[in-house]
Amino acid sequence: MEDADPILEVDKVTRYFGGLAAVKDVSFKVRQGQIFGFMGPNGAGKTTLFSMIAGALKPSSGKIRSRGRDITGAPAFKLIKLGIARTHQIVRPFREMTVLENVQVAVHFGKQAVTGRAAARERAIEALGYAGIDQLANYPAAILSVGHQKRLEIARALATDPDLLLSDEICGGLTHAETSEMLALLRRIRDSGTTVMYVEHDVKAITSVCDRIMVLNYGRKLAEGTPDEIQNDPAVIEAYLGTRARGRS
Amino acid sequence: MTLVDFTSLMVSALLLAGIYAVMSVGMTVIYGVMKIVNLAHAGFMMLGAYLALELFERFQIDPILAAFLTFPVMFLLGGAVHWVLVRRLPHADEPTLPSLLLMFGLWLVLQNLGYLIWGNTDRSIFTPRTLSVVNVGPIAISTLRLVVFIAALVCLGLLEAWLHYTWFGRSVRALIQNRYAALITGVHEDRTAGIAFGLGIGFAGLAGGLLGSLYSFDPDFGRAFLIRAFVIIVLGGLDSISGVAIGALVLALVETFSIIFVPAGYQLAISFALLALVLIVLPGGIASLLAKARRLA
Repeated sequence: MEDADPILEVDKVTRYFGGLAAVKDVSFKVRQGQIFGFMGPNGAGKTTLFSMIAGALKPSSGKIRSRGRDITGAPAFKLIKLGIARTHQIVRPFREMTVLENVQVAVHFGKQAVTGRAAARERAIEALGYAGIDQLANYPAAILSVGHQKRLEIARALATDPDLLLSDEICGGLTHAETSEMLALLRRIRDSGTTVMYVEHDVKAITSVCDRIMVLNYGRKLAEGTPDEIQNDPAVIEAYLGTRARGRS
Repeated sequence: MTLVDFTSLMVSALLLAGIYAVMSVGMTVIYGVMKIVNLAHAGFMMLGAYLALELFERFQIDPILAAFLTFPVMFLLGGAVHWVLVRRLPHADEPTLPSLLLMFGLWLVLQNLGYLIWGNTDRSIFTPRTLSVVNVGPIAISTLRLVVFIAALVCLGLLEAWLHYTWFGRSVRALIQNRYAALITGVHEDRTAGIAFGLGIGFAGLAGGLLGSLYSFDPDFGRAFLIRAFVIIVLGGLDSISGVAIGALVLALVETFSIIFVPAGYQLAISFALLALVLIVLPGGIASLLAKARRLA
């Protein structure tokens, strides 16, 4: 049987800003163990859709479910208890805390609350190790490079032990080398059993890492499929490159 | 001025700074977490003073101990006020007009409640200890002020440790430093803010109780201290506890040493002059100065 209870199910979600539909009737399902991406040109509604899934924005209509449970508009602290964590496009560390303390904040709010200081510390260090910045544990977060801050953002999300990680433009502003390391990290996260939903501007990044991609255009779902299918979809090519000029000589 | 005079002024400034820090720290915690300027702080300090007085007069509890006992009572009161009123204010990253109006109104209500219950006569807490002094060499130190100072330091130390080493303290600091990131990390804003508010009010009550054994008070008690708390917070920067300690020390030094040049009755004018000066010269407070030094280093 297919998808009895997908880890994320977006069902005919619409969001209006004034009279304008930023997202219109979008539906998709994310299956466990995938990296699911959505992409689209500027203004396609990616961030609006992402914000609705992450609970930061209420849909005008439609439902969002996780494992059959309605999570439409649920606040972040509830989502995290349900195993849904997110990172943000713009890094937001707690600047006056050390890297380790940043992650320790998150540890206490995870799916299963960690009790005991030693255990909490251990979990935080584990998450830092996973994100590859454990050597920076005792530095103040404010002095990290953007690349490292993005990893901190991921470590903080992982420290809550999520089943689903929502990640918004995590490669934005990174160098080429940093991007490929970040993508490798996303794959590792998937392989360890956390489903990843990934929004990115960069077509190359998203097609190289995702198992399944949805393309948005003008707030509507344009296509969904594997990276290969997407890259060869005429509608997608048209949305990104425009129609071929019809020669009138 | 002789060295002895100078030293005794230094000592009394230091002792004053302790209690100033306790009364300001509650406002700082509340401002940091909720960006609410707690204009009702003076009202809660007044309640703390009367509570300590009642405990002392009815149950013969030592006034300093009584001040500590007001903490849990005021904490619960603060939590309740947050639950009933403050929670409904719009959440914002800067002080809003509704929050100022609410807190100002609350202060008026508390004040009049005070007049209703205790009348408008001056009250004071008087024990055998009130007038006793300890002599350290040629310097005489008021025992009571010394005890109040130690009590203040203990409280500030406990608060600082709590903020740094407990997960709840960490989530309070997370909210202070970056509200949005705290939210996506899973911090339950309302609950954390409620406890932070309770804590702030608890510290107001404690400060009121401690001040009540140093000064006489009536239901309008706290007004002058509220102004001092503003000066301290502006001096120290709005959201750090070490900043509060430094601000309290600076204000206490300025007030104490100004006695040499101006009559004691003008002390509040000096606080205000300092406030104006800081706002003109150093709007970000001492914390901004330190941050600048760090950046240059």
